[in-house]
Amino acid sequence: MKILLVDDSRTMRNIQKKVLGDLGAVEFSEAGDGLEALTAIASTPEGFNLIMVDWNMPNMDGITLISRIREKDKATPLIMATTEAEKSRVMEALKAGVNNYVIKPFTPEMLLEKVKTTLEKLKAVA
Amino acid sequence: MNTTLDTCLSGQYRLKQWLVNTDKSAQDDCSHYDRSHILLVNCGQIIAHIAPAAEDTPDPFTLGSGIELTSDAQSLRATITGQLYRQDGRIWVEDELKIGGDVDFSTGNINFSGNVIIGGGVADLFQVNAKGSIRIAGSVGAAEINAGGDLITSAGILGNGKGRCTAGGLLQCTHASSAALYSGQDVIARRELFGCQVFSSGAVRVEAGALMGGEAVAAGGINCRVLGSVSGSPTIVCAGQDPALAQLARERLPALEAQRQKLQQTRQSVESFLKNAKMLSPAQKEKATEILYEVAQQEAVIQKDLAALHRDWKTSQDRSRSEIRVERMLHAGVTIRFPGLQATTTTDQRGPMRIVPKGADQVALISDFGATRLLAARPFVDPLIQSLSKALNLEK
Repeated sequence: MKILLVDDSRTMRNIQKKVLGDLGAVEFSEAGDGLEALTAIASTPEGFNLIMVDWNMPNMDGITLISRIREKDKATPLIMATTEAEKSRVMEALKAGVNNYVIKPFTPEMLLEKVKTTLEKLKAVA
Repeated sequence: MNTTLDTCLSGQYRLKQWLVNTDKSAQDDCSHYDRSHILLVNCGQIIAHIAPAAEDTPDPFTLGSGIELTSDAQSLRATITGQLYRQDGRIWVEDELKIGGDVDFSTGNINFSGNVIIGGGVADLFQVNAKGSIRIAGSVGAAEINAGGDLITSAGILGNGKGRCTAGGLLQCTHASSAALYSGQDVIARRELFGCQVFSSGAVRVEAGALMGGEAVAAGGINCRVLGSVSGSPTIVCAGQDPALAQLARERLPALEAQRQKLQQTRQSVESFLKNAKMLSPAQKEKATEILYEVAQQEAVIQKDLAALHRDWKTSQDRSRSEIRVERMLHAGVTIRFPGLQATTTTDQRGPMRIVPKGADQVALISDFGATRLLAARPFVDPLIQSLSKALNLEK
């Protein structure tokens, strides 16, 4: 399983890496902003099984990144993990094409549960 | 090229330089107790530099076991950790340390990674430490002996209040007095245990004599011919309680408590964050996520430690046996303890008998001939065991 973690905080990426490591054999890639994420996606022809995206990042923010990904790829599961908690923001992200939304602060259990639920739901639909 | 005993020819090489320190006493800053003439080498250690020998070389040698030539044939290297011997033109290493006589100023303290065999005894204030087993033909004085495996002495242990013997496995002697004895398995004294502090994760057995004075704690029960003394020397015996558990509590509970306090503090700081979650800045929300992760990590560490403690507790409970057997005589003045209760004998009782707890407030002396005498018992709780039990939520 390949997961791309996009967050400008290295600490947050490390936390996500450790928590999502519980999903089993996971190969992680990391990006510090939207532009780095697009490069990582372009250089991974086999694609990712999941992309975790932060909203507020330098160079290219998360919402722009999601829109850019969804222009070409409707299938890869995208989860936004962000401090943006307003309903309007959540709606905006869903419209852009995220499959689920995790609001910071979250516990490791909350994150893992959200990711598992999302992956299972998408698997069932497929 | 590696050359061993089978392939090396006597006289093929001569010693150029001997590299192993032969005499520690040459070092001025070395304690007299640490000065030793015994040569110990580690696996892989270069022992000597050598050169090809001419026909008339006066000091040729043969290689024995535990030594090889280095690939450039310029040096000798130990292939095992052990004692180095150089005798009659032969050099070899043995993984067992054999000391012909006593451990005293002639040998210094002994520290060895394998088994140790001592032909004599161990003098007062000397130390013998071995990762393997230790066998001692003579008597042990007020010395400190630590064996990773069994510790077997063919004579006695005369601790004089300072002797301390520890064995990971069996601890066996003919008799012991005024010594502290610790064993991961059984403690067996063939004739007598007098005034000793004995702690055994197995059983304590005094096969042909008395257990008198001092204290004996044994997970696997106690068996002796005579328990206590005519003079009423204070004697405490405790059966069915593993002293390793108390040790475990002593070692691990402070760390566990420190972890719990740290967790409590972290929880408090995150709670104050979460109470006002909506008011938090993005940076504070990120920080709160980090703290929540930290809490989860700390909880996982505590749970892991508790699970390990539970396993050790269970193992200890499985091997516990709350029974004391006395073959000939149980004297007055002996305090008998079982987990949770204790009683003291007030009169002499003839054996053979077994002593077991009966309910929560009595101790039964059951004669092999059928008669049973009950002793009133009072509660006894080892505070360390109680703390451990509390930490593991085992208390009713």
